[in-house]
Amino acid sequence: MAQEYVYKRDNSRLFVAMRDNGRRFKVIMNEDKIPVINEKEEDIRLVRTEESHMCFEYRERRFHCVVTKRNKNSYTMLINGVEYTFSVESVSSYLRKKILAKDAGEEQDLSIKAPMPGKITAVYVDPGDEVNVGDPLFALEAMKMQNEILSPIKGKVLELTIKEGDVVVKNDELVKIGVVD
Amino acid sequence: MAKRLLVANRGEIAIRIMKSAKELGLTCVVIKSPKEADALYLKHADEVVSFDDASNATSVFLDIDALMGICRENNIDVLHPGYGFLSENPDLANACKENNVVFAGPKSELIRDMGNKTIAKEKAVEAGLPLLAGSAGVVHSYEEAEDIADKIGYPVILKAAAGGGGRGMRIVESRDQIEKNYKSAHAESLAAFNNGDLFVEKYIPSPKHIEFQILADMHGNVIHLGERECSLQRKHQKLIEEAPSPFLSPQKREEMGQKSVEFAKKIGYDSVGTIEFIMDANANYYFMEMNTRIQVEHPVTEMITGVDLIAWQLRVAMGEKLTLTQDDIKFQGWAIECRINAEDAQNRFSPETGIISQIIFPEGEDIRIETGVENNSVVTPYFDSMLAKIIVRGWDRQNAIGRMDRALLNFRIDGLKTTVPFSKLVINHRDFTLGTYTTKWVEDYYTDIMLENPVDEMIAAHAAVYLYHNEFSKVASDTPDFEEDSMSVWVMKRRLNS
Amino acid sequence: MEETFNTRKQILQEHEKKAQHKQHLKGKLTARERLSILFDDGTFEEMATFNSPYEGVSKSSEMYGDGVIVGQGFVQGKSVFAFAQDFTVQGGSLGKIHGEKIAKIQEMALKLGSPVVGLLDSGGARIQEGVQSLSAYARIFRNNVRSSGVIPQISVILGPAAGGAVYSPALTDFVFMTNKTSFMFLTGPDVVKEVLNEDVTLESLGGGQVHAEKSGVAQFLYDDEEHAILAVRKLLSYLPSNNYESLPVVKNFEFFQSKQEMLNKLVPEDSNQPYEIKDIIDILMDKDSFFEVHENFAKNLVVGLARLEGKTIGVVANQPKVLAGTLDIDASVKGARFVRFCDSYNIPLLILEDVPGFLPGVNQEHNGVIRHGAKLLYAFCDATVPKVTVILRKSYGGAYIVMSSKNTGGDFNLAWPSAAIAVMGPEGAVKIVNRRELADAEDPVALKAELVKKYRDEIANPFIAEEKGLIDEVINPSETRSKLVRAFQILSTKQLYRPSRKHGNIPL
Repeated sequence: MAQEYVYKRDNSRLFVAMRDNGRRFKVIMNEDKIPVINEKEEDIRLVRTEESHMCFEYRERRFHCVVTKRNKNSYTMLINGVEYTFSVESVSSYLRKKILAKDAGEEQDLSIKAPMPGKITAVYVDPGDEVNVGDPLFALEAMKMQNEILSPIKGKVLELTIKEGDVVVKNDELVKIGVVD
Repeated sequence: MAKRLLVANRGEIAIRIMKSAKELGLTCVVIKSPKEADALYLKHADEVVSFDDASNATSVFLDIDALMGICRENNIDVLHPGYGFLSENPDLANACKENNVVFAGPKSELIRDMGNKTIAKEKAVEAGLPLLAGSAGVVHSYEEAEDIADKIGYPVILKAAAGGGGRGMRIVESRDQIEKNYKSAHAESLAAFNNGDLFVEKYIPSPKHIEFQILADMHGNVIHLGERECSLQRKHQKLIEEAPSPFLSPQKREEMGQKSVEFAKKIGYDSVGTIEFIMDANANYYFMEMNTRIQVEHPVTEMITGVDLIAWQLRVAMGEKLTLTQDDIKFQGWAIECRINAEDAQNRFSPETGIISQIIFPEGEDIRIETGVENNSVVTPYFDSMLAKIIVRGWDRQNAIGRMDRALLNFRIDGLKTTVPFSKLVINHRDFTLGTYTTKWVEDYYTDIMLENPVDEMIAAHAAVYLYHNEFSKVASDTPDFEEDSMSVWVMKRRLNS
Repeated sequence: MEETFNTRKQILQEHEKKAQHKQHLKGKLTARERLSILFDDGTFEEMATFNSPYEGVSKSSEMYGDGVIVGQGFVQGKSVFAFAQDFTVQGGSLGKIHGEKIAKIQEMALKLGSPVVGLLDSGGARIQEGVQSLSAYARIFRNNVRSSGVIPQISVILGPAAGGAVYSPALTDFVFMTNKTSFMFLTGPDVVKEVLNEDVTLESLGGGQVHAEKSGVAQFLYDDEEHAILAVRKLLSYLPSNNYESLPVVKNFEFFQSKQEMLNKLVPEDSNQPYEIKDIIDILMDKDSFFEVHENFAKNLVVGLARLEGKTIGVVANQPKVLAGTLDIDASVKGARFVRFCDSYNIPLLILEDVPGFLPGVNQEHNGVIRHGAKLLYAFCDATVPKVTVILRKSYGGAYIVMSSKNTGGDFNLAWPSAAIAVMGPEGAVKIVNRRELADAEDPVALKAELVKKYRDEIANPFIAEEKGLIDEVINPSETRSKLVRAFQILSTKQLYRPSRKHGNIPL
């Protein structure tokens, strides 16, 4: 029957690599040709690739690039010791993402995660407490250092999953803060 | 018979100690812990003693009884504690003495006195070193701290009397903040050092950290080997050091060096040691403390003076007389050290663990590498995160910075993140090249976005698209890259019948 | 004749234009667009396009097809049936004809042994059609159940799925959801408010995140529907078309040759130290082949499809990074369902084990960890596919038994030298066995350390288990991949007698 929409599967399509901070790169991959990045031809060549490691040449310099994380369409690349995370989108998924991000607005609850493994030595807040930006939430002892974890947003403590003496792993969700209007 | 040395430490410093010790003809013994069973330092030793501290709460390097047991069983003559661990613990020095083991460090009493900030400051005053205004000794309550702070003016700093490394330290901006900070600093230092004593002193908001290297023997000879500047710190952990300091005039150097030597003489110092000062924007300097061990950053001094500090530390400990005089010490060129820590500078320097799948160090003239790791080393959470140090020397500061920049560019590590991008950023930053950076630089100016580089970012974006594209081509393409496996009749028959 | 064809084409084109406008504004695609992503170009053949709605509903031209597109096409050359609900027609509500169309292709797919993919975007039962619409649901559910274990069934939720509509996805093998645009719940926020006087949002009641993390209803969560539908294509590339068909084999595969050595060091000796099990899976399997199922639900157990020398296998692995890798209710249910799926479609199982036991606690016991843990045990015992277990580190007590131990029917049970197989961990065991000695000891700490060491060396040691025949071989971690390749190769001809029965009674 009628095919009004043809999904583009060809190899020279445009992709958008987006970062969390909003920076984006429009990349056209051309077979046997150099890529076009943000409307400009860039002479990036893949010199070699072995396992998770890629080596590119650009303007007579070599760039070693290692994939440190990949999940679905999100890729974290380590290059010169610094990580950059991109989600790779097609033009249409990029546009949809923008529409949905606008709808959702900024009102989002925030989970405070453990920045590093360690032991909770003090908890300064209780569920229901209102906190301001920069208020200490709890103290985490790691590598024998006391780190006070501060609230990045103004809001209300919704959930508290820790108590003094708990041992936490990196990225454990410890406190949930809800936005108050 | 060759004397036997126990290196009561691990990592790069253990290797560094062995290098000098072997040149002195010592037989080097190290300790192997199951927490780090195939560490690089073990391969550099003449003998390896195994000690199972896997299920112990304290590491063997912190266990005086265990160390003394090892000394007795292995006929150890000399013990070098390195830095960290028990290197500034007077009880270890005492225990060594009781066991007839030479301790590569000063007398136990000196360690004890210098480890107590109140006593150290008293001695400094006696020797005429300038001090920051503050409590004469320990304060016993937050009210007392408040009174003193009101007198000397805010901001003030609360410090653990037994402390170091930033633990138990709080900066207080105003009177109403004293109580809260006093309590948390007290608790922290009690937990870290088993001693909750605090004192109060005037706080200099953006100071420089300058330290003088002292070398002394048991026969009353003391010289200094100039200063190091270690102002590039994060939460009181040094990250980049240099010698000499770009901030010091020759006159100031002369004056501070001389005063440092006088202080060391006055207290009867008899080993290598470091006198730390902080300096305000007007080059007023104040005595902070004395470290009675070899410092992490000792190589920058070695690079510009040509003196092997660890060899001398061992020699004077064994009673040798210092043959160097102050006039023998000449400073040649400029040295910079970057510590390579397994820390994620993009995520509040949180420690990284894992396996180093590949590590390539820069090579070249006047590049010195001190490393505790190699290819396939495992970085565990048990020990501190410093993996290695890169030290360069140039004919002047600018030349040294250029060398360091190239050295860092040629350094490669796969498997975990390190502070190398941070170091690259710092040494190329205006505040560093001008030499105006202070100990507050990281806190005040650094954000992780500064690590990013637009070209790297573009290459990374391209690489991400390249990978996605590969996967996309496989998934979206009409042509499968698979074939159907054929199932044996044997299996099929069973299936159909069951 | 010609004229009729042209009019029909025009109707569809006009409708699609309107639909695109409506859906795109909401950050969604139309049903037809979705199908074109799912199927190879131009291969989708629609069926029953112009079925008219059941009487009683207005017969406007846009109601042709009754709000659902059904048909067949090819996904990488494999025949696949699909239905896609059209939210722009009466909110995608399911009426009699709508339901029958779906049922028809389900029945056809079952007859032909082809997978069914449902793209759901529907407000639920069409109220105007009353019981007719409910009975249509019933027919779909029955078809879901009849097809279960015969042909893979995949549901992709791309909008709301409320009330009865949620049960079809729940009966299928895999549920995909999208973040922010898809919702599943039995009773919506309005009812919750009315009955319980609780304020909840669509998102927090039944959004993609909730079902992917908390309820476990969705196995896959994607940010965008295009990625989600492409992932369905990817998932299908691992699966046979039906339970009689052989597994697909990828011709070109790579693996991390140079990282095999790293396996010797990846597991920390200190048994309390966590590590990332997925690093080990990645090294053992073909490069980038691990496709995790239920990534965000019950993270203490990792399950997913992967390839070993191009052949599909199912991986079940404890995750020491989360809850120390203990098994709990959610992990048991997640594992059991995955094992059952693999067994249905002849996908061999690899079990990577580092488990200190079941998660203790009143909450777990009261919620029936016994009942749920038994599901995982049942699933492993009942699975007739090749099963290879590798014990990496801890393997204690009941959890050891559950994780496909030798006597539950594991075909090959291998262990790394770091393995410790015992009734419980050394500290706990010593406290019980040597309680008296410890109480009387002068230096209980030293004695305990000594006893723990003794226990480690003499009881928990994998070589002891090997001597007793409960471990087939203690292997060097770096040779694991080659051992696995060989094991699965020879096990490919495995056949097993099962007693004749209607079906077992799994502790549901």
